[in-house]
Amino acid sequence: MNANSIVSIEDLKVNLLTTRGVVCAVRGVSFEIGKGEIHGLVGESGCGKTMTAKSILRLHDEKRTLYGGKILLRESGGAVENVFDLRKEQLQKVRGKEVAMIFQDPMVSLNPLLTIGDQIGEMLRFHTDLSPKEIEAKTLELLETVGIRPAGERSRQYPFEFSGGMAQRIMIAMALSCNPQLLIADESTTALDVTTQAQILDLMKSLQKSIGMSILLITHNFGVVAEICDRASVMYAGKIVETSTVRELFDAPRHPYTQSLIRSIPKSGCAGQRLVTIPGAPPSLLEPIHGCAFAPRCRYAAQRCRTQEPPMCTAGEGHEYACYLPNAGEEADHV
Amino acid sequence: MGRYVLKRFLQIIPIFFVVSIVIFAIVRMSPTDPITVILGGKKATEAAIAAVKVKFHFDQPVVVQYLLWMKGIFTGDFGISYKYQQAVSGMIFGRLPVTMGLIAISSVIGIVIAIPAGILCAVRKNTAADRVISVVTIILVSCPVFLTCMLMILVMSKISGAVFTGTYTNVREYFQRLAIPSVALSFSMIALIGRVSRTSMIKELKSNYIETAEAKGLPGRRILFHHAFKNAVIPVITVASIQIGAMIVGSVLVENVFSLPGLGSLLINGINTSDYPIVQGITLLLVGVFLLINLLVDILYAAIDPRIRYE
Repeated sequence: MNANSIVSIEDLKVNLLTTRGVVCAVRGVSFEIGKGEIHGLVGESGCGKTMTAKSILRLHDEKRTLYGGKILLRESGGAVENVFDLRKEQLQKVRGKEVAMIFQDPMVSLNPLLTIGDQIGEMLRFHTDLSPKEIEAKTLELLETVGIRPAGERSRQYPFEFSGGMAQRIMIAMALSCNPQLLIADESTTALDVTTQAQILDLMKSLQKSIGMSILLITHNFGVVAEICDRASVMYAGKIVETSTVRELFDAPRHPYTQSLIRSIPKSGCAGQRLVTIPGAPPSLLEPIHGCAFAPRCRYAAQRCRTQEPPMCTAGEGHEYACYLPNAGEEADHV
Repeated sequence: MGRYVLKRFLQIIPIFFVVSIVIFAIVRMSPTDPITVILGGKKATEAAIAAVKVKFHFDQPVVVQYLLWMKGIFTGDFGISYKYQQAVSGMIFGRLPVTMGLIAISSVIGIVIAIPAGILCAVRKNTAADRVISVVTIILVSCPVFLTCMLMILVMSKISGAVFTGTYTNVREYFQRLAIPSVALSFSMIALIGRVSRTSMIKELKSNYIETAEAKGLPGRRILFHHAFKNAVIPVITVASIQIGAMIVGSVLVENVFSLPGLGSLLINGINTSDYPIVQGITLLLVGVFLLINLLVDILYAAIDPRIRYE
């Protein structure tokens, strides 16, 4: 684990036991998130982004999940712990306090029968030594911070009295209440309209700056990555295919999958033209995958790609990719 | 909240009157002549018949008869029994403690056992404990109440030799007499509430806000009771209220088997002897109880769920 990192995921594997067999949802994922870094995790639906993120908090049903690898977490005290070695009570202290998470649909992520003040306050109640009075004051302060006013009145309201964007602000207030080291945002702007999405992203970015926490941002939207992330990892079929700074990812993507994703972002001024797509569909994770998982959809795939899994290669500082033919796409792009 | 309660209360008033008209009309449509019942079927003199007609208001139009009955209800006078020639209200209130006691005690037994059992099953879903409880509830729900009653009398009298049937003379005896019948009556309640709490709890435990609560690092008990149970209890209340209604019917059977002096046996007796004031009175009372239970349930919903409260 890097000295500057908050979280280091090392060869994470997540296998889900289902009635149809074992699903290898995450097949060896490694990446690190530095202190104060906003790290994007990008990929299409079902590629294992959420699975990876939830593993950091061990939120999967452990009766039906087999974990492999390590998730090292630097706690606020400085001690480094493997999340998978934690006992239940220790895990409860990590959840919410060290690592907080916000979800895709804020309207169903809040308990409909409890006031929002109660839902924010209980975080403080179980993670801090504050008195009930102090908890109330802190709750109102948090609501003010995320722009919910008048905080006193609104803290006594129920989730159904808020719009989606407001509810996501409440989720953010709740997540930030114990000053976590890391905030995991799982598609947290996907359910919102574009204007609200931009507001929420701005809010997250400004809060991240003032608190100095790190964010793991899960999204399938490259626009969101470009807007707020420092670094990003691209996932495909349960593996990371490329990790780099966002600038390099857009300027010089190495992996053909990353290149295809970036090509398929709709561009303005192209109205009436067909959108670029990636042919084919991701492989089933119920069956073992040989070679590169993207090979069947990759136009540069060689014989070797289908039989041997490409190793992680480095292209400069902090830029990693898993492909044998890293430059094939670039040339094609300029044609 | 106060406005909501008032609104609900005002809504049940017209229902009460409409039902009372229906009850009154149905009883009037019966082919048996009430005068024959009152005079015991004997050949009576013209004078006796005329006297009865005046005493029971048969000389008045039906509408007036209804209004007189209603007026009586609100002053605590349910009319006079055709057969016994005494006040129906006294007969009903003398028997009310047995029926209400049976329903109340068995509801409490049912809820106190079934809800924790349901939660346990939901938390330990598909384990041995869950399967055992599920099998027991299926057996309980499949047994007709009169059969369980008879089996219980048989077993309990063999074990202790005590008397479990008949009437009571003091408070201690009251509870002794009601204990076993209440347990018998609670079986279907246990089974039904147990199943519903299990299903409802399993559904709530899968929802997104529970994942949020877990991600917040809350203790398991807090997640279970403060977050999941509050949501899961709403369908349980619905089913419990319906089941309490069904228990009123069940109590008739239980009272019969245990020879308890309750409303059920009085009602059956009244129907058999065409004693209409008794039939009308008890039916209307049960309707009133039913409406009040429904009102209570509506208030409970509103107390739990703010979305209902602010409608």
